[in-house]
Amino acid sequence: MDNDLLSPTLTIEDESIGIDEPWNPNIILFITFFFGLITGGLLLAYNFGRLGMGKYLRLTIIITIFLATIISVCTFLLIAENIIDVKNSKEKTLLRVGQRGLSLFIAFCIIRKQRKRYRLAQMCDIENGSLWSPAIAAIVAAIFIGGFINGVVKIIVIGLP
Amino acid sequence: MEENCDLDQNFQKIEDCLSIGQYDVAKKLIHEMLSLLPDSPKLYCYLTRLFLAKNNLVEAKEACETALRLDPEYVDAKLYLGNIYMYDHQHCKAEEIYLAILHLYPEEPYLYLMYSHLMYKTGHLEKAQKLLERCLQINPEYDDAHAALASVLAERKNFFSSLQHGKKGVELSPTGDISHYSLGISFYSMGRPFKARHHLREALRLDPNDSGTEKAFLQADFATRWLSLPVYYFSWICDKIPGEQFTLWAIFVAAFYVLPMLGVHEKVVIITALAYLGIALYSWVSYPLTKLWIKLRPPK
Repeated sequence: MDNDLLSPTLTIEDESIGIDEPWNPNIILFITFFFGLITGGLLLAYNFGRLGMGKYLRLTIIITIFLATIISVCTFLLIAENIIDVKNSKEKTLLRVGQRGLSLFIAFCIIRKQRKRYRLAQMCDIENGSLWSPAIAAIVAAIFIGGFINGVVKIIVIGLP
Repeated sequence: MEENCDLDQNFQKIEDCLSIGQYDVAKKLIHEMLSLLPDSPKLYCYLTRLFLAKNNLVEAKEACETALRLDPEYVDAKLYLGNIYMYDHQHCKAEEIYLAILHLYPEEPYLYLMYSHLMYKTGHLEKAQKLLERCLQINPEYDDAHAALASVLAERKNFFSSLQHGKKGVELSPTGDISHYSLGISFYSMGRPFKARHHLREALRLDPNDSGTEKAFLQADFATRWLSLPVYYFSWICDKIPGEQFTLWAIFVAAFYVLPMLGVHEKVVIITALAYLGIALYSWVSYPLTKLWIKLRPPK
């Protein structure tokens, strides 16, 4: 007989303590798709808190903003080096699609950490929280944060107009 | 001698009443017996079972603790306490109890089944599968174990084995709600929503009070409405691809750029793009429309 079968498996992470009206991570994935990495990242960060995994909250915000800055730097470098011509609509679309794809990939990686805990919440019949107002707040916050990052990066990479 | 025979008969009566859901009669009998045998842990276990059946965890725990006070080594009471902890979402405590009893009775299939339920609930699917396989090694004809294994395998995306165990469960227990539920879940995961609906409906008929079965039935009923059927199959296919619908989106976007380079006519590219857009729009619109349909024609 498998020896592991009768040895303890569960840890404190398998308890539902600390889970409070979590949001469905898959819906946040769609929000990331439509509204970008910062919006999705902020929501995912706060979802860690709702899933009782508060230790990842700050880390997720920092990683999101860091990666959003990297994406912004790469975008402006591609434009500054004339690799992508923003006047060409096809190239501009390609750039947008690339940004969206990268954002989704990052969100997917973050969500992998949330799925098990979210499943546990569902198994424990814990109701989902409403995402409407937090999503709107995250979109507004992302406009300001994204605008600030893009502004600063643009000045550094391309220079003042 | 005669007194013992009476007691046995009464215990059997309580057992029968609990099995067929005559809880009020069972409660009356238990209290009558308790006035004669106030120190019987067995009676407190029956009381625990009664409260568990009525989803009254607080009173079930009280009765169970009384049984354990009367006999700290009473295994049934320990097992019920484990179940109470599991239903009360105190998973570590439940595991501790299950393991303690399993070390005492390593050949008892019911213990493996309960422990596997805990593993399934907490998402340790591999261990849940191993426990159920061990359980079926001990008793290959255990219907509930086949049913539970069908659910675990369905979630692990091992659809054919899941279906096999689901069918075996129903074969062994044609009137068991759990067997029909598991087979329904297997069919639903395999992309056969009509069969899933049939079995989930049967499970709901056999146990109309189970909210989980009702939820699963409504989900299967939703999928079988003609408006949402294409979306069900679309999601079913997406579910098999890593990255799900976003991978499909990436493929279409890539195709949109690659096809013109391969010399494909512009019209074909535009039709491909519009087809994808159509699928996306349909999947968004079909949801509220199906909900409206269900309101107008509720499931039977």
